[in-house]
Amino acid sequence: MIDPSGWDLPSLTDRWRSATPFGHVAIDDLVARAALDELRQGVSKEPHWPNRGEIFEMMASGPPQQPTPRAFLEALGGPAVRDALAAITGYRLQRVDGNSYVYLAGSYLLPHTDHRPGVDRRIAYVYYLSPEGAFTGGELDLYRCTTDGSGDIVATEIAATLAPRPNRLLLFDVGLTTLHQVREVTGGARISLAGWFY
Amino acid sequence: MLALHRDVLSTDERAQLRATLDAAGWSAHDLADRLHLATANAGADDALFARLLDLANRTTRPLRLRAFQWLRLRRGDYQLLKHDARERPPAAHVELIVDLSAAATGEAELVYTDGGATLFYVPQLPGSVAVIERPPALLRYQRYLCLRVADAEVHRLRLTLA
Repeated sequence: MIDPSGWDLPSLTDRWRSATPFGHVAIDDLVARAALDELRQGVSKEPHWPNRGEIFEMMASGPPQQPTPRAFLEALGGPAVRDALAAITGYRLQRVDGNSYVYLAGSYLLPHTDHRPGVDRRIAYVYYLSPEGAFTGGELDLYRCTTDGSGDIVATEIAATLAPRPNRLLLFDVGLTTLHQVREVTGGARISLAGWFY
Repeated sequence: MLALHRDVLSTDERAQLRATLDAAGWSAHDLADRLHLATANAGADDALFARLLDLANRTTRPLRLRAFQWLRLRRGDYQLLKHDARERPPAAHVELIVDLSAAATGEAELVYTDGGATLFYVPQLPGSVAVIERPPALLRYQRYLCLRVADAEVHRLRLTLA
């Protein structure tokens, strides 16, 4: 389903390394049009449950049960993609996980880092499924953080805003200060697959 | 423990207080992984504070005022556990949440948690006073105000008593 042999690795590597405020890169047109359609159908059949907490409100699936989302995750975590991502990011990756998410109007994910002590998340990813114009809002903001001598974050500013384009895979670094948010969706349905490489 | 007293402040009292706060001016606070809201530059309102302290004393035990903060939240605002953990007194204390808002939004609740499970909510109920016993492990966050609040504003006074 995902063929990284056509990726321009030197360019993607350069974009990852030169990205600010921290490593990130977008890979567009990730899968073929027919595969995208099948993925959309597969995700639409996954049950999604209301999910509300301190920093988020959206609908989330469990681990995918439908064949096409499962095949997507298998391809994403397969050796060809992991090798390509190792070349781009410098990380040796072992596996990937992911769920699907539906953000309706009023859904959001507030600024946070995906870093968890003892959990070896190296790269976070989001893959966008919604057709062009299917929703408004839902951009991914990356923050530049200023820390004090003890490592505490004392100032933050949005340094990059990444558009949630259909069939786009966004990858970004996971660390103590890799703050990011999903802006509130203001209309429509933002549907994505997201998770981490370990 | 939570005790919620309804209709402690009238519509007119709340409107007068909000006007006083607006006149004193607001300071914006924006630290992405902690909070996004405004606090008023106004000082203490001695008569109101005495009345609230009396209410708290009758609800709990004899207490003294330790700190206060006037807060305003609009769409897009929030306050997270990380901020509460840094800001709160480390020892057990009593907290009063006084809702000065013009109207209920059906949103904007304060959530109290032990860091894992949600233990209880304080609803956004204009004119109400919530009295909360806060042991050291009880943390609080202010839920993000999404588009459902439209152009409503939530005004609160928070008193720290011990």
